[in-house]
Amino acid sequence: MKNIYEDFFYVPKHGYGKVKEKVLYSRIAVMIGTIIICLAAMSFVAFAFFTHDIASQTNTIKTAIFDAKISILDNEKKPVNVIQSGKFEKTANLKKDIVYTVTLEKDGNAKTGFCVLSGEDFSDIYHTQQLGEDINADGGKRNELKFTIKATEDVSIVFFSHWGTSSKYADYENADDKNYIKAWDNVEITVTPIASNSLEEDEKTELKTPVPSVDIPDSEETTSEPQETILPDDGEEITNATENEIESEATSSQSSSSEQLSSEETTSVELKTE
Amino acid sequence: MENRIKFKKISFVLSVFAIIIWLLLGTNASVAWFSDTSNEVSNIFNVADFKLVVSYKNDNNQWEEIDATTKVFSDEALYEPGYVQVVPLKIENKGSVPFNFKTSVIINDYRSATNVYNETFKLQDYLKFGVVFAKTEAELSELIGNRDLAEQNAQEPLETYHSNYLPLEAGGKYYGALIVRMPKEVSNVANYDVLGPPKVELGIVVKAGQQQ
Repeated sequence: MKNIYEDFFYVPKHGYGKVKEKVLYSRIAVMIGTIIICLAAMSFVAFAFFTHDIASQTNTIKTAIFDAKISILDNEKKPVNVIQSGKFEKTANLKKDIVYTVTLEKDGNAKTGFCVLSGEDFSDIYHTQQLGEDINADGGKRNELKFTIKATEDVSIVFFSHWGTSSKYADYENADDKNYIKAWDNVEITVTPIASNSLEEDEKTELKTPVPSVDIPDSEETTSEPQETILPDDGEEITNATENEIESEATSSQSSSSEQLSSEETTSVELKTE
Repeated sequence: MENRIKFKKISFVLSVFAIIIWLLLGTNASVAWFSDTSNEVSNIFNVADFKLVVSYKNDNNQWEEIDATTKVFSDEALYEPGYVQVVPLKIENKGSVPFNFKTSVIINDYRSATNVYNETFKLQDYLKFGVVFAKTEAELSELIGNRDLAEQNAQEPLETYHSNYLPLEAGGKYYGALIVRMPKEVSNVANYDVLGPPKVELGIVVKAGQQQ
């Protein structure tokens, strides 16, 4: 045994002799033998780590879209050209001293939204009531909103569709908020020319960008016509009394198209330019 | 030499003594060697039962098991400011060994869109997400019982998410909820152009591994 050990396994300490070749070969043989035994052991040794995964199908998250259809009738119940001046933005050119009836109608599949009215000729920014779901509306819903606009000068008004809830909604009960347009309320809105600091921060963020320049397609080009005196059929000049009659006719004519209008005074929006 | 003779004598005496004892035992004791053979031998190896079951509450408010064909979030849901969607989950260990499990939400794909200001945006940038767990349904209701509570528990941006491992004993169950919402403060920047809606494709995976 001692001879076998010295021949095949003995490694002399440093400086006390050389390692025999037999020792090196024996070590290699032991290593190979160990590997073979381990490989052989794999055939009859079992081990496992259990896992279980459950995955659903891909789920799609998508958004709604909100837009508003706008129709404007003048005091003669003639439609006014409303131009698509941008994405969700429509522009209408209104003449002075004429009462226009504006009808906003919810479009898109979002549950609620509102419109923002602004223009280069006046500084105030107006928010309409919610179009769509509104717990303060009759039946919890309002798909249409009507009001009137009257300008003291020719003006171009931009209607900007905005989803979500208006920042002025909390002022719903606040009758003094003249910039919040409700349906057929007796509200007067005075428009003044834009001052540099007149916009509130929330209104600036809501608009996000200034009103872009009008991009009018060829088929919808507006024409600048000289103002004509509008005469009733019988040739009489329009007096203040006649104006009131036209205004009431314009408002009453809308009652048959959608929800019933109250017999109370209409919303009159005066736009004054200085 | 004398010691060797002495030890020989002692061992001889002990041997004789042992034989005498053994002989004496034979009169009052019996020795038997029992053995039996059986022709049928069956060795049964029982593998541990490892089973994870995940269910979600469907539109009918019933627990329904999730598999590869199940859509957990409703396809009809349309997100807008203030919209919150909550999906209750139930994770059960129906096996015989305890395990650790974790929940992952993975964004498999998304489509950008153009907003009303002609800017490209990603929907997931305007969504918030949250995952909550509870041991009982009552505890879960305290976390997601109403809109405000659900919003409080969904404050993280929607991105690929992996929860921590939670232990679940054999036969035990955990309740959880996935919450996805669009904050009320999201402005028109996420109101997309008519050219195409943005979307996010979410994958839900619950993974269980045996405890070591």
